[in-house]
Amino acid sequence: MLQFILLALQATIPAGTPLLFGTLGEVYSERSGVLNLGVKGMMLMGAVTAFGVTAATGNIWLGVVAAALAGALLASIHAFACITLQLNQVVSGLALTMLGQGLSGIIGKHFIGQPLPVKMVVIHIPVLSDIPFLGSLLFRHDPLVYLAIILVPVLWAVLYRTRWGLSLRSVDESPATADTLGVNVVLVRYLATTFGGALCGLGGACLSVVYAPSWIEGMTAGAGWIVVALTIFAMWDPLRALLGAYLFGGVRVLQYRLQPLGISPNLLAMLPFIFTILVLWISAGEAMRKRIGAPAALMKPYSREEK
Amino acid sequence: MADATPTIIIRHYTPEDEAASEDITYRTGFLGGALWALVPAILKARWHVDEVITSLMMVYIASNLIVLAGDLLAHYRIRVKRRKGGA
Repeated sequence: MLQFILLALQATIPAGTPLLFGTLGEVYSERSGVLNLGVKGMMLMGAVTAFGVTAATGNIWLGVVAAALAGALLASIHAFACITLQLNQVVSGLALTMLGQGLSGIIGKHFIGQPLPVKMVVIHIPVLSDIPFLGSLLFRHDPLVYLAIILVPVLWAVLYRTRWGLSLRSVDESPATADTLGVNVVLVRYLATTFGGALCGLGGACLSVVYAPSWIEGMTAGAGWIVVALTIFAMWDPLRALLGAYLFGGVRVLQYRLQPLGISPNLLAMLPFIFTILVLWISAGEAMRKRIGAPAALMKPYSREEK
Repeated sequence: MADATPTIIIRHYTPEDEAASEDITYRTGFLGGALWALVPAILKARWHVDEVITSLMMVYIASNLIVLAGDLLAHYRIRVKRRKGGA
């Protein structure tokens, strides 16, 4: 039993990391007032790009960077549609999901069943990785895991302790006020959305070059939607995103670990979606939205003429 | 998609008579679809929850539920009746 728990916990961190990247990205995007439902599309594009570039060049880090760029590129389409054209963010996000899903399927057709030529190194943090139990649990991972965990406090600090973060938060609370004070609302939103897309792309790269490591069509398996729910669950806070991402990483691990015990993986696969509905339901009321600090200008396009 | 779950389950209990069986299948199919659509509808009407996201989630829940139901049926060795000459 102890062995089972240890193994499940060990698998939780790599499983939760793609979710963490995605959630951090979505937090930044939604903090600027742009809801991006295309997380799944961006993650898949990131995954296929990371795999393709790594397979072609033999350099895993080129693949990871390319994945971030692919995610950012896809997100910039969404940004253009929502910020410049002021279209419906839900519809544009859904379109992005389908675009990413279809495009990654076409691009990845030849990658199916191929092994990745290079493997991501596992970094053993000296001294700490020798601690029994905790060492193998927390300090023997690939660099992307450490990157995600380092990003959490960094992004938190940027959001709450810097001028940039203040602009970002003001744009989500009241874009008109921010505009009066000289914040370039359009620029801030473009940057935040594109940056969010880059992080989602990194999340996809985690899946295809570290977690799997291979390309499978539609390999995110619900991760994209979990990210959307996690962002609300985390109340748009990077620190709580860390907690939520690994909690759901754990659920994803259990999905496979409990299968031999006769518990259907479909039952557990259903949970994140039920949870998403519940989170949306609970956070729907106006009073509740205020209490959990929901971005007031979320899904509202900003134009100077309509003050 | 959603209506398939109750349909599969109910179909097992339907009488041997093919016409009556088909009739019940359609009825439960309608009912299942309506029930499934009711969830986003109530959430939208009562609490203003975005119906696009909730309906989408319901699709994923349904697709998992169908596999789950199929597995359960197979597990308990319940044979799902099929129409003669087709799926």
